Amino acid sequence: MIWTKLAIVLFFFVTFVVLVRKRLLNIDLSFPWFLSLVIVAIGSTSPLFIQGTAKLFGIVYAPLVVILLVLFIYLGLITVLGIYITELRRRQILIVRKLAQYDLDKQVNCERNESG
Amino acid sequence: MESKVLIFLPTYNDYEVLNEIVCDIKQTLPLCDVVIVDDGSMVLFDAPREVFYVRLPFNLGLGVATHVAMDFALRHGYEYLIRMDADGQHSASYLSTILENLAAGNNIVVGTRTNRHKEKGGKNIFKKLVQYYFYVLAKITTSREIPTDLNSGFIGFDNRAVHVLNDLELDRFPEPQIVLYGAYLGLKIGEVDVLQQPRTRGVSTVVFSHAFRLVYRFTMYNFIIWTRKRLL
Repeated sequence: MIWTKLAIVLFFFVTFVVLVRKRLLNIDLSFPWFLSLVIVAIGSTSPLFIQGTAKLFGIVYAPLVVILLVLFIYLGLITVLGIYITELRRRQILIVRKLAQYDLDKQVNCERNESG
Repeated sequence: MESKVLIFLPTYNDYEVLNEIVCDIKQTLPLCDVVIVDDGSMVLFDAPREVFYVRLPFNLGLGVATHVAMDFALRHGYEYLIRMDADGQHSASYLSTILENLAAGNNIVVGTRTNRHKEKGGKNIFKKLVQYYFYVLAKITTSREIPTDLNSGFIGFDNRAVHVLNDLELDRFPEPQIVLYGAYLGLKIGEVDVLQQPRTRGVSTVVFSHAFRLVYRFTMYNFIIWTRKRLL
């Protein structure tokens, strides 16, 4: 049993290292999701937290709330991963940088024309 | 040398003292150029004629603003790029000292705020602890001497540093990332003591709740470097 637990932890650690190494896990965007995971992990050890959250969401079978919360967090993490795998943000930033250079180049040319 | 210097002022909804800062810079280094990168402010700013000004379409963070200034410095052949904050906390009188240090052979020069822990209270102790954590972790990761103030926004770069750092992907608050990656990539980093002026207008972009995010972010940068060096 202990080996299964260790293998799961090791699998997640290696996945995490590879994602970070390949810059697929953005540090800024992934922060709230990891923080939520830690909060849910700590909270799920308390029956008060589980029952309170289940009541808040109107879930009859209380333990289900932990599964639903974790699924929601994973969905967020997958979205963050999607943004980086498809290079959406990188492309958006590149366009903004190009437009900014175009704008600044125009100002440089104007200045050069004015100074003769 | 001055004509090859670009001063970069990133701003976000912070215009009240910008004109005064530009005047101070022009008095200290009359031949240098100034570029203001507005990171998508809510209000429009009427920039003085003697500066280059660009407004990003929406807020993308300080990292992207820094990339815009670096792109501009590279395209137009500036020898040195110095970043100052737009809230008036950095005095233009230190520009010459930073330039001298860059000319002496440093690739990056950090303006270490010697009076940054002068105020008292629990918040300050927490700040000190965070700074100390950053310093120790960065020193262990890079295995070399690094500046003590990793969050200073008063930083000078030479052409080589701009080339190297512009190839990276700088994040929203890139100051510790710049110093850490600079050290890791073998750039020569110097530091000069500067006195930070008290804030008269506006509020700091780094609030207490950001501290956890900063610690997470910095730990991750170190983790990335550590995995590159040792694991993969």
